[in-house]
Amino acid sequence: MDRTQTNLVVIGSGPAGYAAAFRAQDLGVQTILVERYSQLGGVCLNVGCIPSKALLSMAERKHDADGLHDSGIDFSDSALDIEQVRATKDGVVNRLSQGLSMLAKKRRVQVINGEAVFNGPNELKVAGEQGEHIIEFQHAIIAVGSEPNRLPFLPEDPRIFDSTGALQLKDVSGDMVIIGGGIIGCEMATIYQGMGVNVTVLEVLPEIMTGADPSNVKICKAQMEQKGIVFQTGVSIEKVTADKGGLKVHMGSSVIECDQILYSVGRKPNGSMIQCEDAGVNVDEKGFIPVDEYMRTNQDHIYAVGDVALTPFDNQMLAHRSTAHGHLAAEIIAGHNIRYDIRCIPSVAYTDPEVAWVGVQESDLEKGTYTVGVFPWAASGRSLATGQGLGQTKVIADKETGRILGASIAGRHAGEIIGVFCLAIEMGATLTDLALTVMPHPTLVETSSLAAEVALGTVTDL
Amino acid sequence: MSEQLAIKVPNLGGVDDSKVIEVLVTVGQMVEVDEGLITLESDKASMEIPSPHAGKVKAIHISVGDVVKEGAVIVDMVASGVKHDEPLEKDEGQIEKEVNASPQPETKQDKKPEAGSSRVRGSDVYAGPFVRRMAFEFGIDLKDVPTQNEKGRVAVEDIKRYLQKSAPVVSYDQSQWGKLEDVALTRVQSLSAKHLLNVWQTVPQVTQHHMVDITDLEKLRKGIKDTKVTMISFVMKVTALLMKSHQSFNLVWHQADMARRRSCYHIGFAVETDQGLIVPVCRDVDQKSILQIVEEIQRLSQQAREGKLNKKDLQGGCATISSLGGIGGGHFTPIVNAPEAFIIGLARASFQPVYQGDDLVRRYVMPISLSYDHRLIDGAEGARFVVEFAKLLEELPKVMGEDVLSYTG
Repeated sequence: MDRTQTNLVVIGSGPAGYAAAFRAQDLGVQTILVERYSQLGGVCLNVGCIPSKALLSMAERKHDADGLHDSGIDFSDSALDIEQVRATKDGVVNRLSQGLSMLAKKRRVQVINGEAVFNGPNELKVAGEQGEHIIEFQHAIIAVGSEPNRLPFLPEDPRIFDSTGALQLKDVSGDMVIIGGGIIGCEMATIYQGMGVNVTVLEVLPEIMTGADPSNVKICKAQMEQKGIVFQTGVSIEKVTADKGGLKVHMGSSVIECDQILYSVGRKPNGSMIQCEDAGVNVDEKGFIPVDEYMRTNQDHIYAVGDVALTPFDNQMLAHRSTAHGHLAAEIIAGHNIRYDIRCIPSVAYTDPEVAWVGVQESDLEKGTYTVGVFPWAASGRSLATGQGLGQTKVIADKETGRILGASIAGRHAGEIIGVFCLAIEMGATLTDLALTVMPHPTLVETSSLAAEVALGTVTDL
Repeated sequence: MSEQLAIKVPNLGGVDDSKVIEVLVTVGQMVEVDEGLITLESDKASMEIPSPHAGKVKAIHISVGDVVKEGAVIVDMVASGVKHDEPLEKDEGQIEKEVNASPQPETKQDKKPEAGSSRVRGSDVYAGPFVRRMAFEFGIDLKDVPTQNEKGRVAVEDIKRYLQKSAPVVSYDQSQWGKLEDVALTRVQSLSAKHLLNVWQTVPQVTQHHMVDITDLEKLRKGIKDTKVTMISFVMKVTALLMKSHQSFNLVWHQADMARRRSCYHIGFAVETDQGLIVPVCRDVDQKSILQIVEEIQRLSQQAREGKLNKKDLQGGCATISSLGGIGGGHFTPIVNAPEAFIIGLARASFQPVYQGDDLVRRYVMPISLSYDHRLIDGAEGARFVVEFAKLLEELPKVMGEDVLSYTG
């Protein structure tokens, strides 16, 4: 059995893990990165953000091409080669994953493949294809991520799958039911509809995309419905049955028949998978590992980052949050005197149109304490010139100080524009700061400063 | 059935955090209403936190050395048959639980996260992430950093300036010239240091010296029976009366083109305590009789020495009297206790040969030093003030008449 000593071991190579490992190594901390799968990058790169964005982009461009005949250019003979679509997606994933391996090699971060479990407070056991490997560490960063929740009433059937299964695009015909209308469910609906599937989204809550601004959800939902996606909200699903002829979703008196079911009902942290108890690290009943503002678990030398970490400050399972955690933990281990000091973490639904939001939303605030500015994209020259003028940019600021507290955007490229507001919030910018920033015209990003002008009452474009 | 209550740290009058220096109860002890539970040391004073209810102490959540804020649970108490408004707080950290639906992580005792009162984390500080990180690394509270930005945004340059100011004066290693020992300052001392430095750097001051003939006043003072009247009581009275006719002496600096005039006559006096120098404030000196002033000074000095003053007892002064008469020495240069406009330092009185006309006479003379904020008070006004001050004190025995103790002015 191999035994290796290291200053730091990072368990998991997703956006949290590789960020932590690379940063630590860059700061001179000798680091080993442990990954259970053969490819680096975790869920985000392999079966999450990246492949889904590749498919969403294809769906979006197909939609645009199909719609161009109104403008005098006809692409109506479009044909779908699903093999090639899959290959394109896999190509993107492979390219990025190989890039990561190269970056690891360049930094001389040792990568060990295998399933890791703690074997004591300073020891990790990795079981891989080449047998067992013991790693003795001074510091450890747990970055083991999360996996999709599964509904207990779902039968085992190859036609029923989670987001990972959905990305394989096994069947792009017939009818599909998506259980769960969160960000992932809505993105998958967009992909499958784009590939020619009849999609129905079922959501238990009264509205899809919980957490997003309701008026922006409305804009997005209306567009998705126009494409043919059916939404049923506030439903109560009793059971799902599977037989040779098809699948049935039973909801009281109504039954929906379909050919495949995708469930996207949240994710659960993987804290219980690595025998944390052997290192004395606390894991809660859900599988989260609680950490403090230094990303430390209850064991001073063991840190947890990303989806598995339960911080007092943020709670979304998002790749960019994970990367920030990873950098923070690595720098703290390298001796930097810093702590968690992130003011906001943005969320983006990469639907068509996109919905993006950051910071505080109207529903979080007490009436009368805040100011809102909404700039409708129907008044945006760029949006009209390139699309249908569909979307809006909304900014929320403190009434007294004018400090920007949050923002929400619906529309194409909302996820890009939201970055302006992330910076504004981190910098403590006010509405005036943003309104006085000259943005290029005509662009979509200028709607951010225009929304600030609306809030201040200084706008001349409305 | 008797109720269980969580007794919390009350509003401390604007004090953010206070150190627990004493726990006055034990588990199982019966406590009366207003009986002290703990003693907190804060801004220049220590204060006892009284129990708002009567009952039996069930658990103590605070120990000596803890730094607490308003709302921190001191003890759990089983109330003895009284109706209470406050229910037992079971849901600490409820907000976080609602977000995560999971227990709050156990954070290290020494490094607790800030209470999340702001709607966006830390949005009360107008600064970007680099500046915030820099501040944390240097252990600076950004709220203390003066900024040159009129909107209040703290920039990197502001931190650099702040760091330069607070850098130690001696940069070489002093221990090479002999052993060094770290001496911890009390909270009072370190707060005074910060205040004095700030005043010294921001208030242009002038000190005017003078000699006051208190021969008759001293004779009168010694003759008063039953009550021990101190010289400072007369000085306070005279000061308050003079402030009425010298209105610039009751100004407060406000901004570049405006000062503010106060309409009250509260005067502080410096008291030496184990913890350091404390300045309690005697209210409405203009309206009080000599006896009332004597008694108030006595009460405040006693409480100051016992560390039992409230924050309010230390606030709101319009002027300060600092007396070193009991110790000795001549004129000195007191530092104005800004935002007050002036301070009067009293030194030890002694018999001096004084010319009265052509005659050399033996008089009891007290050196006084008036320091004032030159932005508010001109040199001529300062000189006039000390001259009249001396005259008034000299003539005070005649002015006060028979019933000295009930003299109000």
